[in-house]
Amino acid sequence: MAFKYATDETYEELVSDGVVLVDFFGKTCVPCKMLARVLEELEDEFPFINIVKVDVDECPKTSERFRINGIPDLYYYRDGEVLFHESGAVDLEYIKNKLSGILY
Amino acid sequence: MKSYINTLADYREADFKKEITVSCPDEYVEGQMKHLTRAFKKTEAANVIEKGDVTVLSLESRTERFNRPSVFVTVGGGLFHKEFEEKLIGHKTGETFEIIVDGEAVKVTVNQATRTVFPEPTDEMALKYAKEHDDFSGIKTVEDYKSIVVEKYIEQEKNNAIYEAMNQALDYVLTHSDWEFDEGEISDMVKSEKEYITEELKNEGRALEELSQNELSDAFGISELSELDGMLTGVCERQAAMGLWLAVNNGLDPKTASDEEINNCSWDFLEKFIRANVKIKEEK
Repeated sequence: MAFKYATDETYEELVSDGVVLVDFFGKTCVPCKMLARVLEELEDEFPFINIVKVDVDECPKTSERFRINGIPDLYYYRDGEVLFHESGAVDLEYIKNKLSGILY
Repeated sequence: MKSYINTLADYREADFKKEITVSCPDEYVEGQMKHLTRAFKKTEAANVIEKGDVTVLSLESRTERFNRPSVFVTVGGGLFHKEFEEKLIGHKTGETFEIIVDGEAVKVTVNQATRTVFPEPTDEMALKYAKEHDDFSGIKTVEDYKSIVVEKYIEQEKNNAIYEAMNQALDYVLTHSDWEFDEGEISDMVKSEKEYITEELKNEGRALEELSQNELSDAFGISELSELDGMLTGVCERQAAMGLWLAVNNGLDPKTASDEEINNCSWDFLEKFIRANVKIKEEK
């Protein structure tokens, strides 16, 4: 499943079902690019995990609502509910450990 | 600050690795090649399960984890259960069989198995990638791409090595100096940290008291909530000690320096010292 890019209008629908990882990112942010590569690796290995990308400049309302102060910021959802979030670029093993507990 | 330094250890006497060799492993480069080719990847049905395949399984057993009508499992991905995943290798789509895991029998049916196939990288792919990724702009060939991947990795490893040595010097100072912590100051810092944590959790619709033992352990390295204050006190004492040390090395008087001045202090003195005293060798 390829990444889905959210807008302020589609955000709620995209996170409403199943396990979803939401990446709040900025186009020019270097740590965001590092995390983007990690998420690509995650998507290659686990295509059944939904990954939603939110460009903070293009989704001001959503970013404001979540008080996104630093990017990247990764939110973990299950069926529309935020389980937790993490600021900063994290590595693949870290995300996999978190997901293992959420998915199964 | 109200806390102060009785005696300060000299960071130049800290023991840290003076010679470091960095290299980029072939497996890393190989893994990074997938970024170049992933726009052209294809998914195909897999008849015999191999490592990396994505399976849809029906599981029946007495344990909850292995009792599911339909579950996605990436074989060898390690998310579901490493030992179980390994035992799927070699089985076929449509097959029903039994796996013993953690002493329990699990009846497994493979409903589907798919494999992602990445093509061989080409220079055309490198050109396309360069257009879409500004940190790789200008590359024309697969070899150019590899060079940048290796360069970035080596740079990161070098920075990590410097960072690690800086941490070792910092730890030396923190553990070999004599600090006099002001109880009220540390208690205010702990209060402020707790308020921050509470606010963060509130944003997620949670409360500190609701955190499970595992969550407390993951987030704070503690097993019960009553240990939180003690843990935070340790963290805040370390922060205060760092602030005092930074102030001294930035030419400030720690007694009169404001929080803002201390927050703006630079680590340059330490980084310069470490960079001047660590020899980093690149291994091809």
